[in-house]
Parts: sequence; C-alpha cells; structure tokens
Amino acid sequence: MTILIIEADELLLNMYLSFFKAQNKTVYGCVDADQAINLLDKNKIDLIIADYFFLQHNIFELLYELRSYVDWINIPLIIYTSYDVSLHHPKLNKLFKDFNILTKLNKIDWDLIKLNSYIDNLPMGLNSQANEYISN
Amino acid sequence: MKKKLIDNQIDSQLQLLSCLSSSLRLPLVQTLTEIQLIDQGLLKDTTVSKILIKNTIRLIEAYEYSLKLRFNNSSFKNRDLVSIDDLLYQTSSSLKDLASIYNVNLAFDFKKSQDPIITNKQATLTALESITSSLIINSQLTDTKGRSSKRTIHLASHRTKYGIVAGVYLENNQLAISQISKNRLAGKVYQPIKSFQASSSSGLFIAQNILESLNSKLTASKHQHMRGYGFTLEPSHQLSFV
Repeated sequence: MTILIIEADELLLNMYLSFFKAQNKTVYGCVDADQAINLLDKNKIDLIIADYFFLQHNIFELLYELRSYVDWINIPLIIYTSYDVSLHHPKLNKLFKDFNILTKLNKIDWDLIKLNSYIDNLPMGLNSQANEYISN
Repeated sequence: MKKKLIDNQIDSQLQLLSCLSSSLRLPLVQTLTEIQLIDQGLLKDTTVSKILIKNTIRLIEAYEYSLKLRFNNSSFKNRDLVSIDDLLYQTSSSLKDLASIYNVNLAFDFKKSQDPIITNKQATLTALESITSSLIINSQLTDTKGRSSKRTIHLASHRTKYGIVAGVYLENNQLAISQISKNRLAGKVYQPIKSFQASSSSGLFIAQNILESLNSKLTASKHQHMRGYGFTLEPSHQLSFV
C-alpha cells in the first residue's frame, strides 16, 4: 500500500514517515496541498492521511481540487487530527460524504499503532464504498 | 465608555487565552508521537520532546508575564539601559535548540551597533523570544523549496525616524505584510498571516500584549530585503553621546 501523508508540522510529518516506513509501507509526505498534488501526479497513491489545516490551504480546498479529477476521485482519505472540528461545524458530516472522506481519527485516541492496524484492516479496492466507513 | 473599554480588554484576553490553549496542542501531540516511536524502538531518546517542552513552558511563562505587565502596570518600574543588539543575541542563544530541531539557522545581524535604549529588559526579551519561536515553528510553512531545506531567520535592528526597530525577519517574502498592517494583531483577527497555523501563532499575540504594556506595538516590518515582525523603541538621546 502506498500512503501519502499531508501534515503541516514538519517534526510530526518526519515521525509519521519513520513509523510507516518501519511498518514496510511505501509512504510519501508533504506539508502543503500543492506539494500533495505534485506527489499524487508522480506516484500512484492508495491512501491519503491528512490533517485539517496545511500551509495555505485546508483539507476541503485540497479535496475540491482532488475530487475534480477522475483519477483521484476515489482515493480514500483519512483525516488524522488533534482538533475536533465537528464540534464547531455540525454540517461536517455532509462534507465528509460529498468528498468521499473515509473517516476522521483523533490523534490522541488513535496512536500510530492503532492507525496502522486500522489501515491494515481496510478492505482492498476501497473507493465508492468509502462512505460506509464514516464514523460519527 | 469605561465599561466598553474593559469589555474589549476582556475579549482580547479571552482570545489570547484561547489561542494559547490551541498552541499547547501541537507540542503535546509531538511529544506523544515521539514517545510512541521510542516505544517502537525507532527513536533512542527524548531529545526533541525535551526541547519542545522547554519551549512550551517558555510560552506559558511569557503569557503569565504578559498578564502581570498588563494588569499590574509594572512595565515602567523596571526600566534599564539596555543594548538591543544584546537582547537579540540573547534571544538567538536561548532559541538555538528549538531552531535546530526545525532545521532553522538563526542569524544575528549586527553590522551597525545601535544606540542604547531605556526599556524593561525582561519584557523586551520575552517579546523577542515569543516572536522568534513563533516564526521558527511557522517558517517551515512558508518554505517553497521543499521541506528539508535549511531556512534562515534573521534577528536584526535598524534605525528609523521614529526610533530603533528590533525585529525578526524571514529571507523569503511570503509574509502577508499588507494583511498584518491593516489589522491589529490581538482582538481583531485570529490569524495575522494566512500561512500561519492557527495553533502556533500565540507567541505573536503574547508579544503584542507585552509590547502594548511598553507603549509599543508589534507591526509588519522590513529589514533590507527581508520581511518579518518588528517593534520600535525609543533610543536614549542623552546616552547616545556617551
């Protein structure tokens, strides 16, 4: 499985990359949406893990771009964040469905080991069924 | 009228507190993640966490100090004759470790020595440290050449007709100067720079709080070809002849 991690903090990003490389996963990382688009263009990505906020964009701005391309419309995406934005945005679940977001995992509750086993247990060929895995 | 003023002050302080509590989230998550990597045998020690925790404590102390200055009106009591270049040097020394883990080079520009100023030394130093640590954490985000490249943050001072400007500057020009110029930092806008993470800009707001107590304010500033944040302090005219 090839994973793309988008994390605004460089220290955290490097830690995530070390962890997933040690789990024998092919993993790419970047700190902003434009770099993410470049990496998606050059590599075949099976799963994206991203926080809500990047350099100059947020996850939904990236997704507006991403989901407008046929090749990237079905790439599953996990939001991995320490913010519980849903508390402030009650309509977030609708956005999750519209943008085909797999789930939102909290960094505090979901450590890297749990995240890794969650990824390992994902059914292969996830795409249009992604919404079934949305957690409330 | 007085009630409105007090309400505005309370709003501003609540926003600062909210911003500070958000800022604490990032170093805690970083520390938690580093511990996980150590448990997995992927890292040997907690060097990064120690530096991050020290910086977080420094941020909390700066916040407490800013409150003390603001509400005790004590900023004018402890005024000393200080060299701004010395304060810039002390700032670069105390943040050397934080800069190293973020792959940032702290450069201290002292081509021309400035006149001494009379100010509250601790307050000015705390403001400079808060601004610099905020820029260290956020400068990664303004880098367009790739995440692994080394960045340089300049601590510098220069003279203007209004006084001596002490500031912290980035080499690239991506700081949204117009945005910060139009808005006052605390109270009006939550994010002074669109490229700043919401979670790590509280150092700027704390510095703004401290500087207001010194009758100065944090503004967008230019030094040579670089952009950043600076504040103006009046030089001691009598002592400039010494």
